[in-house]
Amino acid sequence: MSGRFLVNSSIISVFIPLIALLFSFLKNKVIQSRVIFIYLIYSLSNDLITSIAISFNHKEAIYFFNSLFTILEHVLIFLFFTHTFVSKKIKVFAYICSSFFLIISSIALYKSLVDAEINNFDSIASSLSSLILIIYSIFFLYEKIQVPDTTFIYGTFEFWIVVGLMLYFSGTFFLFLQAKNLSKEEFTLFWKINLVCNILKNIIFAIAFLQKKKSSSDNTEFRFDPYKS
Amino acid sequence: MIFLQVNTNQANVSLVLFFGTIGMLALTISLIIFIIFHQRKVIKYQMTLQKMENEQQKLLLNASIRLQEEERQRIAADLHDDAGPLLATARLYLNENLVNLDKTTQLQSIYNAKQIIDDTIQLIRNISHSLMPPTLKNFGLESAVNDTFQKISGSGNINASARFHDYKERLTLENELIVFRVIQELINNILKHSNASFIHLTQNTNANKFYIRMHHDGKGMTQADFDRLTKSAAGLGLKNIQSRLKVLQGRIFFEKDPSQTYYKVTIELNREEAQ
Repeated sequence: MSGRFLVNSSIISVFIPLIALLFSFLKNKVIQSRVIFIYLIYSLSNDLITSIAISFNHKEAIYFFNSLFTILEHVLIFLFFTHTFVSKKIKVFAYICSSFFLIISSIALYKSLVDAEINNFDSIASSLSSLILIIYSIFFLYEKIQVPDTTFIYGTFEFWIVVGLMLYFSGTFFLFLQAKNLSKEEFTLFWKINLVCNILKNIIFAIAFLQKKKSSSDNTEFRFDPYKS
Repeated sequence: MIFLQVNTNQANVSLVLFFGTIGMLALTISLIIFIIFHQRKVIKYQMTLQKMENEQQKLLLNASIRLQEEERQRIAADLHDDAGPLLATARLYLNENLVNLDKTTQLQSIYNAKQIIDDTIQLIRNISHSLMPPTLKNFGLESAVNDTFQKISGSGNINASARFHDYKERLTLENELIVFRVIQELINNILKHSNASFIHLTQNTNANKFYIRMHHDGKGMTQADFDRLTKSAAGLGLKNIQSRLKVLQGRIFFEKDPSQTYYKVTIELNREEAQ
């Protein structure tokens, strides 16, 4: 499979969940689906912007947009999780972890821009973000098996979103971690893992948007439904 | 993370990346599959429990309906077999021909009719009292239980006594009636099946709980017997006890005294629910 084809497929795959969202039962009723919608739009925009930057071979721009994407992606997924978690303790833990990540990654981004130490990829921030988001996903699944619910977990919107996120971040974790140590050829070769995982994630997100139910353990649907307020 | 990066600098980075990714994906997929199967198992278990609970509810409801029907039939029989003939007899005494009879016969007929009407009034009062004991309504559970126990003791066959330790604050009338009916049913069972020589009832409270305990020295039942009977088609009275206590969110325990001499029945209620 040619690299260009995979890159294009990965960018275009964002449209799969976006089309699914048009037929979604949830639409914009729940804040989680809004967050994921914004995340998808932002992913698409970032892919297009970085593609343009790559074509101009503008290293600073590529680095800046990629690093900014890592931070904003983390924030959006953090928002998704904080609206999905039920336990207050887990929410507090998430706030602490994500605040820590935001401080570290913002400082790293600022320093590298000021010191003009530009790499292709901010390995530490990306892998740290992946690790934190994998931990959130595990917490989500842990909560799901703790709370007695008569709804099958795979029939809910959040479950499929978390599955997509988990597969994407666990699949790309080692890639992000080792990105610094890879040669340009190796990086190009292994970057295909990220593209495949991204396509897989988008397909799973589409499945999520086609679910009729959302998890019954939280009440965000009630809070955000204008007809009920 | 930095440690991992430094360590793998010397090693074959590609190999670490490849196997690391495969390992992470395998772990993630395994975890997701485990969660799905675990949740399915839990839901199936919950559904089985729910089904069992529904069946139990159905049994209790059937028992309650049957008991209501029996009670209606009893009242209907009392009215039809006792009050009906009495009133018909009184009507005979007071027929149209009475005005043609001599004065002495008229007075005798009126007197007889009055006697019969008095008996009918007493009969209807008895029926009414069996539906709602006046002692319970006017003086509360303690007096009603004492009254019942005095009547049982008065028969001379069994020694029955009751002692209420902490009953300054009465339960609501509806709840007192429920508790009284449960006690009546238990007494009825003891008198019918246990061949006991004494029954002793005590009432007390502890924190938020309200307890009524009954001891007797006859042939009793254990919790296992109670559970078995309430789940079977038999044991209508026991099902009725269970459904009544369910209204008060109360519980009942049957046990044999550690001395193996007495049988003990404990009714436990939440005071907040009952008052």
